[in-house]
Amino acid sequence: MANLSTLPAEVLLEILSHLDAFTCIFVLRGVSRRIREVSKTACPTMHGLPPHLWYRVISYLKLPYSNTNVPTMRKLSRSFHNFMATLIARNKLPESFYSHQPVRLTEQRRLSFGCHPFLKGMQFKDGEWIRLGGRRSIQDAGSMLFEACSMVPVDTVRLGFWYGTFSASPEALREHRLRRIKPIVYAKREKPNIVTNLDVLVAADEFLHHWVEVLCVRVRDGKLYITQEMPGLDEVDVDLDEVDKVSVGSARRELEYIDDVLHSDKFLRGAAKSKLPQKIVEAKLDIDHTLNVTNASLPRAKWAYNYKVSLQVIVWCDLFSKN
Amino acid sequence: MSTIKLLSSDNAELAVDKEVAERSILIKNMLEDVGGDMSDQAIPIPNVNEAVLRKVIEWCEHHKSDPPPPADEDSDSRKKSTDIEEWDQKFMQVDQEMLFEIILAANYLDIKPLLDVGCKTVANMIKGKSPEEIRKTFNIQNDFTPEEEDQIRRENEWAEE
Repeated sequence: MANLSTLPAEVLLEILSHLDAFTCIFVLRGVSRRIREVSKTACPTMHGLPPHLWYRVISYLKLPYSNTNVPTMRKLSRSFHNFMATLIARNKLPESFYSHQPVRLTEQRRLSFGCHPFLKGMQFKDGEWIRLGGRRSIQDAGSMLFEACSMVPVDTVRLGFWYGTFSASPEALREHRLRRIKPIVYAKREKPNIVTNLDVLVAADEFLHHWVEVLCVRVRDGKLYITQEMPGLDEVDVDLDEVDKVSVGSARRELEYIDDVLHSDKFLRGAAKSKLPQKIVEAKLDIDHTLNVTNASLPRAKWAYNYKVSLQVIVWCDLFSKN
Repeated sequence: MSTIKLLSSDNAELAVDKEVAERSILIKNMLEDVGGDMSDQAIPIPNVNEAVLRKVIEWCEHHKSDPPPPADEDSDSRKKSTDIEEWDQKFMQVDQEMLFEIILAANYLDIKPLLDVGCKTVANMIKGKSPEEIRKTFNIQNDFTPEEEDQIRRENEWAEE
């Protein structure tokens, strides 16, 4: 009876030719002697190096904060895609949130908040790309990654929104901002201790249409709290029946979500043509440095109009440690 | 349209359109060698039994109008892609023994596109699995010696959590 390991070498080679080098080396070499030998012939290396040496190379790149980021690496080839996925799944990316627990921030570090590379140039578009219940959703985040949204792994992040371009009238905006928005709480499935990029996306998605300027995103006890202010969590009035109806935050779902975004045509088109100039982001961050991050005062908003209907939002964040 | 006969390893004679049979490069070359006239004599296919041969003919009939595969065998579009047409996916929904028999028959009969589909199907069954899961899926015995196991463990040490 024919089975995989008894197939002729040329057929095995044919099967291996449809697999990436990383799978051939990392997975198939551990299956059986014969498959190991054939795999050595088919894929002596992965793009010239064995995976463990690529891992060494990656460690010098200081992912994810270097210019070469995880999505870039994943797009290189199928081998790199699977290689990076394995690193992520096994907590091998040194700066990834999956390897960290929340840290306690010093006062000095509290003041060193800024725009995380992930959040730079993030754009949302109204009405076209629909996700998360049909609200306006993220369209473009050139440096979007799946590690913590914060510079360091923290369980609380305050997000500020700067609406660079929008179509709503100032009156409508004022009216929107006067409303008090009910906190939202989601159950998280895994790794509940760190605010993740998906948490930020969900928060932004939930609150963007309210034209808020500041949001508090906090994870605690397996729940994601999205509030307008920074209350103690026991002050958050949550209808407990609502919790657990939606689960966010599993590593796999985050990867799938972000993969969806990265591979959507709109994202790629948008990434190429419509990032906000770096100078604007930096200028805005200078202003925010005057903000006392320990009190809940709002950052000053800066508005600009133009003819575009789409909405550009810059999100930045303050970091808070676990008490 | 002329018909030829194929004789399986278990002596079953199957009639098939010449055009369909010529999806197999082996048969095509044989027919060319004998001047194309094999109407009265069955072509022996000693490595393929009737059930598998019927499946192969079914595939060839469905794909008889397909353009010939690209000359460049190593073209990236063919390799490294495991996308399979819907009909072919359904066609390959057979037990594992039959799947491997089809692959072997396609290899023997030199039907590259069918060989591709079979190999892609197996590749898809391998994707995303650990070595242990692959062994289980394909009923492969772990035949590594303890020393070899140790060597593999050392090779993959960098990825340990």
